[in-house]
Amino acid sequence: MYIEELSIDGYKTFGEETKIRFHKGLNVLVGENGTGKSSIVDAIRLLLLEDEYGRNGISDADFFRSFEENSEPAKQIKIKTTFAGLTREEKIALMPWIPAGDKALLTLHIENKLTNRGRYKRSLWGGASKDSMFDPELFETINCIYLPPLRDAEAKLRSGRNSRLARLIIKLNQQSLREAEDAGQPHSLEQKVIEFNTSLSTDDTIASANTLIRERLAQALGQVFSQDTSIQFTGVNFRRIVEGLQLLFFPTSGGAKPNELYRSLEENSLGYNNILYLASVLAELTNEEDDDEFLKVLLIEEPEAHLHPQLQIRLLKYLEKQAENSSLQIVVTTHSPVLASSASLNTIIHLSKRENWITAIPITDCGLDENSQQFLRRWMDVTKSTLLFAKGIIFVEGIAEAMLVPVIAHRILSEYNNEVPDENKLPEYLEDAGISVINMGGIYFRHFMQFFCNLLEKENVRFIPTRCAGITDNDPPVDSKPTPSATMAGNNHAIALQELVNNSENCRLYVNSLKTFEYDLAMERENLRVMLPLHNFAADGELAEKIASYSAPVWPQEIADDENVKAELAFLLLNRIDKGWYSQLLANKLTTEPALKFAIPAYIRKAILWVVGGIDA
Amino acid sequence: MPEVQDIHYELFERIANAVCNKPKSVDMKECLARKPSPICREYGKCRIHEKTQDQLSYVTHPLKQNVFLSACPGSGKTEVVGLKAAYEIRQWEQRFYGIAVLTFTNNATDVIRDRITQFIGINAIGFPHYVGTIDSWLHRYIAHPFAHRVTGFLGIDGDHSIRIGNCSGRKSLR
Repeated sequence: MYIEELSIDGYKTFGEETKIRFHKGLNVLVGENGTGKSSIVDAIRLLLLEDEYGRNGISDADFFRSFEENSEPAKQIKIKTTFAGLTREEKIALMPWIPAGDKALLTLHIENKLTNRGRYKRSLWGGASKDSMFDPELFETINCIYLPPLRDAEAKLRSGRNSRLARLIIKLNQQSLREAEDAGQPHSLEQKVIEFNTSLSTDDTIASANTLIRERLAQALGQVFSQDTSIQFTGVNFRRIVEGLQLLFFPTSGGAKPNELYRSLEENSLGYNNILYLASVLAELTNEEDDDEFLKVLLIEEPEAHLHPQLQIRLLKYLEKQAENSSLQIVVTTHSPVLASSASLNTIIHLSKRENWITAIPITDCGLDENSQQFLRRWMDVTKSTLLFAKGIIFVEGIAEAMLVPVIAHRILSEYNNEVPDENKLPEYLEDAGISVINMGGIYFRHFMQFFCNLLEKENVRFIPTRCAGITDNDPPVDSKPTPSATMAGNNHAIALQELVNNSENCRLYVNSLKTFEYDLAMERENLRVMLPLHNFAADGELAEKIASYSAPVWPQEIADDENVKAELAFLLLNRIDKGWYSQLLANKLTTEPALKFAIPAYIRKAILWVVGGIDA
Repeated sequence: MPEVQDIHYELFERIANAVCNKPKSVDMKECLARKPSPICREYGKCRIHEKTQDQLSYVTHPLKQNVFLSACPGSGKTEVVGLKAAYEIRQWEQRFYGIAVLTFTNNATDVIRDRITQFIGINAIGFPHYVGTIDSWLHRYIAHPFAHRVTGFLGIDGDHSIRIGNCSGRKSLR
């Protein structure tokens, strides 16, 4: 069985009941900070009574409290989960947890009221009714392991009480331990240690010390009161023996090396220790022989910690495979675009927050068709996957837009802020607003925007509630020179999407009126004055004269209105330049000379203001 | 007669082996002398061997076949059910489903619990097994979990347990 849905109310960042649907297998929770990723993980730990947390992990700060004035903390924390995919055996054992149909329920309520003993009153019940039979032993069928974000792998793998290693070995030997107990015999491992201890006691190096102690004791206390002593390795019970073990490493795999070559984990890198730790956990969880476990949940916060990108990808693929091939359910939280881009799309659950409202959208709910999925599988790289962590997104088609839009945005936003009262001011940089400019490398709105609005007009779909704007080109024929008074119909297939996009809640698509991004920039008012001098034209005669006069710091009145000449020069300029390099020069010019006048076409301005929040829906 | 004796002893061996771990090599008297279970020590005789052949064959009757035990009052029906429960529980291998021993009176429940405890220890009557009255079993395993499906009770704060004289429950009826 697996967790199908989790509902959280009143806990940490969850002010109102929020439902999160999970997949069987791997789940990757993505989203910016403060959207409740860790709270979800903690809620699962509380409910499933995870070792370190389940029984006492509650403090007054865990009760939701809004940031409004005089707000009261939540009276109750309610966490509920639905388990699906129960086998026949699981249904029998968990019968009281299944109120109807074939799904099991587990509910935890925690009252915001301290008992006399300083604890919060909790009630935990299976199924629909609190007073049903509830056997706490059934929790033995649930194994929930949590790996914290900044895990101290070294400490966990060291020898000692409840070490990870001890847990694993005990688990693997449950059967033989039970047999030994039933037979009233020591376990074979215990037998070995007993024999070892016996041989030690006769070994001179130790025996002489013991004899000395024994003699002194007898002298001090006299024969009647004296005690006997023995020196040996402590603990011959199984648990104590395996708790005394520690894991060592050798930097390359393949073939056993002599024991003395292995080193202590202190000498290993943080990243590798983390992986070792994870391996020991997975060894426990994916041990299929142990079919007494109905639910195995592995919660990993930020598996990217201490790992370089290649290892992150490798690790995620491995987790994905483990989850596919076993009954293990894995929930991973991440801020790493590397992980997000390498996880398959249908494992991703996107979290976002608006005011007090958290929304969790599994990407599988967005109704991406097979085409888009395949496209995005290949096309989602590290930069593009930042869209999963953004507060707003501007989709652009190419490198020129990707370089220039952030610079232009700063100009637009500062100008906007000069005109509005203080309370309406917006962040002046896209990065301050948490907005990403995503270069799709082509006209692929249909695939990318489906995350945010219903481009395929499917039913029963939900979308990531993040504002996004697309900036696209009209794209008339390449050799055309359209002007404001002689516009031309474009060939861009995305224009057909405009109506659908613009009717959605969060998405807008903005198309320029003339030709291309750079062309429209060049045609805007006196922008040529800034743009022409950035390129070194090898021209002479009439053309050189034109370029010179349009590059002049002040345009004479008579040329300002000649849009045909402007179109000709813009066309010429854009034919000559290298797009990337030229965009870099222009971006640099606009950044280093903030006072320089440069007009921004209206469609770009609208796109930026829409995403940043300067235009209402 | 010797034939009957053999069958009785064979049944006794089977049960004693399962319930008390008595090895075949040790006979009843030796067992009683060496390490009697609390229940035998108290009575000074073997509490398995003392049963009749009929009683013992009830105990070893296959669990998956119906069996009906009928006898006059005071003949030791409850006692034998206690032994039967101890016998089956000792051999039970499932960890998450168990045997329900249902009675009609609290008194019978107490006797059976007491016998199981004396034969095989206090841990034996807990999860996954259940020893109790049929009323309390119905109450906790059937009525509370499922009655709301019949009554249409919508529950209070997510809890659909039945409450007696619960006026606010009325409002939540469908």
